[in-house]
Amino acid sequence: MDNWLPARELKKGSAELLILSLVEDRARHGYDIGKLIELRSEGTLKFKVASLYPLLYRLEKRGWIAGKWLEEAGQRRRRMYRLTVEGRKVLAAQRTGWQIFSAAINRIAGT
Amino acid sequence: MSEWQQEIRQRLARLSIRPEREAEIVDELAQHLDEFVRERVAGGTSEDVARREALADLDVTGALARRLASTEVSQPLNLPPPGAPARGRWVSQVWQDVRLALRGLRRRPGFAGAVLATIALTIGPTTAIVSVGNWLLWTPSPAVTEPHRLAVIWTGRWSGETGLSPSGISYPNLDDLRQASRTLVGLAGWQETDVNVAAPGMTAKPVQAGHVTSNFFDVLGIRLVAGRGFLRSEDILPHGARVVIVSEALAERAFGGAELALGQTVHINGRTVTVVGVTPRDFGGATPMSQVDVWYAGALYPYLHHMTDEVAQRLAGRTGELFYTFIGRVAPGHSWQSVQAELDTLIPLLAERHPEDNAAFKVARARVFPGLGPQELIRPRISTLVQGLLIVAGVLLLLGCANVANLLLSEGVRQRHERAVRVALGADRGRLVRQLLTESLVLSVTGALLGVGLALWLKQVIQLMMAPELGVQPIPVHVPIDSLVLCVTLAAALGCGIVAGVVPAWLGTSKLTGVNSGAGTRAGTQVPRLRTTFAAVQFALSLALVTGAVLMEATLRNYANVDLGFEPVGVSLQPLSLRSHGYTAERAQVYSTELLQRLGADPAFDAVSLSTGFPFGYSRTKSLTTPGGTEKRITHVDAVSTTDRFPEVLGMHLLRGRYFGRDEVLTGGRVAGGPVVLSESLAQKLFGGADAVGRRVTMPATRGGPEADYTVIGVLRDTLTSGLDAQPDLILYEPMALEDFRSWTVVLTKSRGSNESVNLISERASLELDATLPLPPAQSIQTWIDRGLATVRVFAWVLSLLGVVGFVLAAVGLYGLLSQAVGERQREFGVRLAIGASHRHIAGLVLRQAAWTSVIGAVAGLGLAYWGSGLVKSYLFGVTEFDPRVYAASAAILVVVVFAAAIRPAWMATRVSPIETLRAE
Repeated sequence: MDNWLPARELKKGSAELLILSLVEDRARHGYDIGKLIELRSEGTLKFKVASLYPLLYRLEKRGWIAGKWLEEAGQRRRRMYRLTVEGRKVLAAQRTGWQIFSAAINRIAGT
Repeated sequence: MSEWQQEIRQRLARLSIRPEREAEIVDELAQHLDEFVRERVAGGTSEDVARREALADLDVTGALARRLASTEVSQPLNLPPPGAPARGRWVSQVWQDVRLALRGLRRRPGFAGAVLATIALTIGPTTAIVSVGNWLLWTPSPAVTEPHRLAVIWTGRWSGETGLSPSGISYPNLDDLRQASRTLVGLAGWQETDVNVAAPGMTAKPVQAGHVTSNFFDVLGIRLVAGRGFLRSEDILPHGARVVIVSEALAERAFGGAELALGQTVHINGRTVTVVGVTPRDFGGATPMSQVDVWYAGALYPYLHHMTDEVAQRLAGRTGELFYTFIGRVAPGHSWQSVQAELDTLIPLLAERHPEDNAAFKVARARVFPGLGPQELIRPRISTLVQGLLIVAGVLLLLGCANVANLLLSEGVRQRHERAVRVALGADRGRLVRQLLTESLVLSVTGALLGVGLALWLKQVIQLMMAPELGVQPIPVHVPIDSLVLCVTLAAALGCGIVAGVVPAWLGTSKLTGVNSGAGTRAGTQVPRLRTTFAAVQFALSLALVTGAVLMEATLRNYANVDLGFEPVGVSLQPLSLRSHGYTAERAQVYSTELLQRLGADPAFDAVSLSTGFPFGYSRTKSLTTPGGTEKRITHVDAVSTTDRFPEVLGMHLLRGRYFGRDEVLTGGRVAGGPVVLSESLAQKLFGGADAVGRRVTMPATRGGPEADYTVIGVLRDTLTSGLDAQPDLILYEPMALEDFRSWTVVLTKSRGSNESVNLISERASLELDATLPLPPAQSIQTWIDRGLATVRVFAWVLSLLGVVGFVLAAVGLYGLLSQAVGERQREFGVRLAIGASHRHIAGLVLRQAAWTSVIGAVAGLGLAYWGSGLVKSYLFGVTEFDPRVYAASAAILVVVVFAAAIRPAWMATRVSPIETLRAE
């Protein structure tokens, strides 16, 4: 990501894309998602509890991800999120959007 | 962990999130924070520092609440006004409970189905039976005011309980009675008959009519829906006013509405009358089965029935006999006993005051039958039947409640482990109990709804089956579901359901009963013993019911095999009363001959005849004299006059000689030396083994007239005439004479079609001959034969139904009991199998438990059946109440049912894996 845009705007727009792509191929729980975002963005995006979970719930409410309680033997139950069919379509669309955007940025900035 | 929960909850406190959702969020966020701390600590940070960082990560500025508000709180309804308690929460909680309950029940379809079936099968039959019984015995039309203060009074010479030779009370006598009586505030004469009605908007139809005294509607407290009742001045013999009151149904059919009928003209039996009033739709008459369309005053009787002026004058006097049934309303403060006592003195008083005119009242008495039920003379029979049904219904209610309790109790016990775990982990006890309560309620309410539906259907079926007994066509009469009964049974079922569902839950969650609580706890052994008793009791009761049902079925089969002596299939009868339509004897003969000819010509009929009676409906008697050496012997016989094809229509066999020819029937007037035919046993009685053909019998030609000789020309095989379990009667057959055509006759037809097709053809034929005289609807002769059987049939059917239901319930209970037992003895079975016991041995252990229960149930049941068989003794035919075959059959059924219930648990027991059991040790 470019450093042009203020971090907050980047966060808002890209966070959703990030979350959707993180649960694309496997279900993950909230803590995992938060950590992975921090890792993969190399520390740029750090989510606090107060921002991560409302975002997850919002995505769940829209029907892009689905949360389910998973009970494993001998463990506490965890809430796992996975991508829904609807979410897949949105992810594809958003990916395309970002590609176009970053290509445009690159052309303008001349990389 | 709990500190996080508190912190998180604090931040969410202002929001009105659904409690379950809140718990989920709290749980999730708390987990996050725990993981956070754990990672930090693993990475070297001290726990204190890690905790503080976690808290910081949580939020202090309220952003969490703000952001969650937009996603979690979407409905404005959920936001309580500041300071007020959150009411909306409660509703959503209940709804959530219901959804959870439904989900939980869907996961356990066997259990849910069993409970639903039990409740429905308890409420349905009980309500239906009691509703019908109640209707029959106590509740006539709702239009009657205070029916419990009304009674039906019959007058005449009594023999036994219900044998009555009626003596009518004339108008002058009735006036005397009314004046003298202190215990009755109203006494109205009442009789229901049939007449023919013709009106402009409809073709002539036979309808039920009632002739009554002018105060009839006042005594019953009926408010007419249009017009007025009869005036005293209209009910004075010998010439009553030519007015009638019609039913709302008739008013609509003929004139389009109640008000429109007032002042209109109708023809009754060909006579012109005017409509002055209309009765309400829900009043059909004074008995539950009445469907009277036309009411007229007693004084109009002579006019409507074409009586001569002379006869009418005699009716007006003290010797006139117009009414022998009355409806009386008891005065406040008096009982029916006092009414009966008073009448017992007043009636003989009538004879004393007018010894010549009222001679009949020296021996005649009035008898009071409280209530407006079905025709009083059959009421004792109906009473017994209804009482029997009520007892059975009560038994079923008991069975059903016991079973519901049984099922829920066992399910509750089965789940106690799960509940104990949840309580140990911190689940809210009140919440758990509430969930269980919801589950019980959902089951109970659904079951109750099913039960009501079942009750409605059963009610119809029972009515239809009882119709022949009550002497009516199976016309759909509206029988209300008794609301009191419904409430009682509903309350019983719901109460059982709630108590049995909640009690074990409460007990199970009150203390930490321990996840390891096994069969050793008190609850573990007490409950199975209780349930075993339940199961045994159920089997006993069901067995008794089934035994009764088998007895009834055997009786019905025996009745069906009785040789009637004639062939009832396809025989229909339609009564004809030409005299009350004003026909002279000659006109009647011409009409009847013409009618027979037209009907006979129709290819739909194999044969037709006209007669003054028919098997199971003979009403005339005669006294024969036969020369027997020096003295004369007198024999009383049933006599019937018929046309020539009578035996053909009924499929009767001629044993000797021949039947009447056409010319012999139509000569008119009984000819001395004329032909008669005897029934087999009559011929036997009169002439022994000798050939009766050619012999002579002597009898009066007309009632009270001089005697004449008649020649026997044939002998017919015996037919049953009064009861399927009686001896054949002595019957004398004569050719139709002129006077016979004018009296009460019946058209008998033999056809292959249905009653409806017979109706169509005969109605058309009769209307062609006389447009004001339609033939009434055809009844099959089988209905008359079945009259006495309806009781047995209903008993058999109800007992079978209840017996089957009882067995099903008991089997379900036993299945549950055995399943639970197997579940608890798993360790034992596993160990046994491991040390070498065979599968058959294990199965045998389970079956033994089942067998023990059923042996107890069988012995108790057979004992109960033995004791109860005295109740049904009077209905049996061809089988005694202690027939060992019957008891053996019922016991065999019991064995089969028990085996079926025990099979699966026994099989499950053999599937226990010994390896796993040992591993778990």
